[in-house]
Amino acid sequence: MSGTLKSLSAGFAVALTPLNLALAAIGAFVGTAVGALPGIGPLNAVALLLPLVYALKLPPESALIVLAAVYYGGGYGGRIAAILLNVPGDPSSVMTTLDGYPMARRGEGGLALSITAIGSFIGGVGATVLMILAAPAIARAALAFGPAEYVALMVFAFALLAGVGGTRPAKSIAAAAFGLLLSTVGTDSGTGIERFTFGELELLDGVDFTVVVIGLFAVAEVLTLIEERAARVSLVSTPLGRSFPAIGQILHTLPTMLRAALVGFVVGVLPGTGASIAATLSWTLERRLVDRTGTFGTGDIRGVAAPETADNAAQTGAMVPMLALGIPGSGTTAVLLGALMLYNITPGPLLFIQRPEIVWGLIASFVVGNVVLLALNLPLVGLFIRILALPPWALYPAVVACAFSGVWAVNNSVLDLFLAIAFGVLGWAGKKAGVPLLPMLLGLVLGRLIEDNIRRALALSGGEVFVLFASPIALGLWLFAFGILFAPRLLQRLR
Amino acid sequence: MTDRIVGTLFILVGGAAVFLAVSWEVPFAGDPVGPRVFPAVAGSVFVLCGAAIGFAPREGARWPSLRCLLLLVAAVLWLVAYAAMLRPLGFLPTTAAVLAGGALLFGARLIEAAAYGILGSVALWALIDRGLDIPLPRGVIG
Repeated sequence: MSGTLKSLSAGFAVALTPLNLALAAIGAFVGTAVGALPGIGPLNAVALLLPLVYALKLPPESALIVLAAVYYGGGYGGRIAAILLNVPGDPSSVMTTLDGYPMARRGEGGLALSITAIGSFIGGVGATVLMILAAPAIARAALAFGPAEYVALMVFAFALLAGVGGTRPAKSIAAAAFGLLLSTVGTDSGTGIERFTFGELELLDGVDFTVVVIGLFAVAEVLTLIEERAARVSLVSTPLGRSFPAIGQILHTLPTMLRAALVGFVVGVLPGTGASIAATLSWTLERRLVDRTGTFGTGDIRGVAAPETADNAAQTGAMVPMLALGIPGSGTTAVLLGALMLYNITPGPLLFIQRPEIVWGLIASFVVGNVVLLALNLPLVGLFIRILALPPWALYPAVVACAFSGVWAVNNSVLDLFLAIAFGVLGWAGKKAGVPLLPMLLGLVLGRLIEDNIRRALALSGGEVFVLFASPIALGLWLFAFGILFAPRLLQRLR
Repeated sequence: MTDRIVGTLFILVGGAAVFLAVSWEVPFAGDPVGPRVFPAVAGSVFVLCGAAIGFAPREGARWPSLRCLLLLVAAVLWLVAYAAMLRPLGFLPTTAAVLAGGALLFGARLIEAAAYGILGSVALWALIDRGLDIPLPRGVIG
């Protein structure tokens, strides 16, 4: 315990340096603003910022602090359009509309916004506290993982994604396989031979991760928006009402928020699930537990607080498997993981020992960022509401220009720009054809790690393949993975 | 139909990847697995999934109208032109054109689009090139 406190205070020393403090505040502001915009979510914002952050040669902990702040800042921003316009800014805000919009129509929009700001804060900070308590234990347990167990764990993560995602498993697995293939492009580290480079010098180092991210989450997003011609939403002009909740209202909602923080954290830690499941689960749970008069869904203050709290707690919880095991549970954490890999840093249990300034600096920055966000979102919420009135014609072309400057900034390469466009078309077509993008991103991020671990395990065993399944942990994970993939099909057959 | 095309594409791309991977010549083996196995296995999985999708297609994909598709093709060509012209013409003129054109596409008035293109490109350039000190291509200006 004292070791944890010592690490944490060292983390605050990192998070409170002027540069990192400023980055956390900027990230929180950008995240809220982008989260508030319809059509663009935190994932898009993180994708757009990633190449700039990398090109600026920020130290890794600073890069992670600003990108993470954009991510959880987006969780604060998503609620604004959900409450005021009945338009969820991202999937996890769908549940917020249920009680949030009725409140706004009653003229209690200000109250809904402020109570959810407090809820988001409790969710974010509560999950950070849980993370601080859990992280050392997870890291200790993960030390038992050798190469074979890592391979099994990553296969398990893919299986969860394919089985839980709701899309057709064959398409998820295909997407993952494509991502793995992409990760092999470039010079093989073991033997020095060129793989899939087609004689292109710029591909010797592989396909740049930032290029793929920009393509999939900025260019493809703009293509989708052109297709939908995002209908311009008009702001409801009901009075916001009082914008600070009374102490009694906070106390009335507090038990709900604390439970939602716990639910959100646990759901966020599990790979393959995410903020939208956490929000749904938490709203449903609270309706069962506290809704005695049937007011949930008609503008209950607890009904709007629960999903927003769980949303932010889940975002923070998703950082745990990313940092402790190197397994991202969501698109955004996959991008954050890829960002770490750009610095040649391999996340995992050893990260806690070798680079404590990154792990604990990031954890401490969660607290700092959430305090900034609470301050931004209580008195300054009017500023973000005004962002909603920005016309789409000003917004979406700017995404393209930012995306291209970002890709250019990394390598000054025209080929990278063409690749980003190609991945944009690929991402758009994939979405249309029901091929999910997340397994592909995960395959690209984890591919080298998986291959290296397989080759290391088999080098140790002298080529004996069974070593991959030899330990109980590895075997168990493989069995679980196959169970998740094939159990639903088998059950159907048996019936 | 979509699933049949997707499946066929997956089989072709995966098959090509496997073919390429198997044909690499490895001068010396650093480890028992070598660099060919992993891409070959991933490519095979890709082929198998393609077969599963292509031979048992399910409906559900909804493609946009021809008019919308043409608009998207135009948008992609617009992006390609932006990428190709960025270095020779420079960041400022290309970005101004892209911002203004994009704004028109999303329904801005001509005067709005022109002002937006000029102000937006200068603002971005000032922020990234001057503010963050990340050099952007100067082209005809530099």
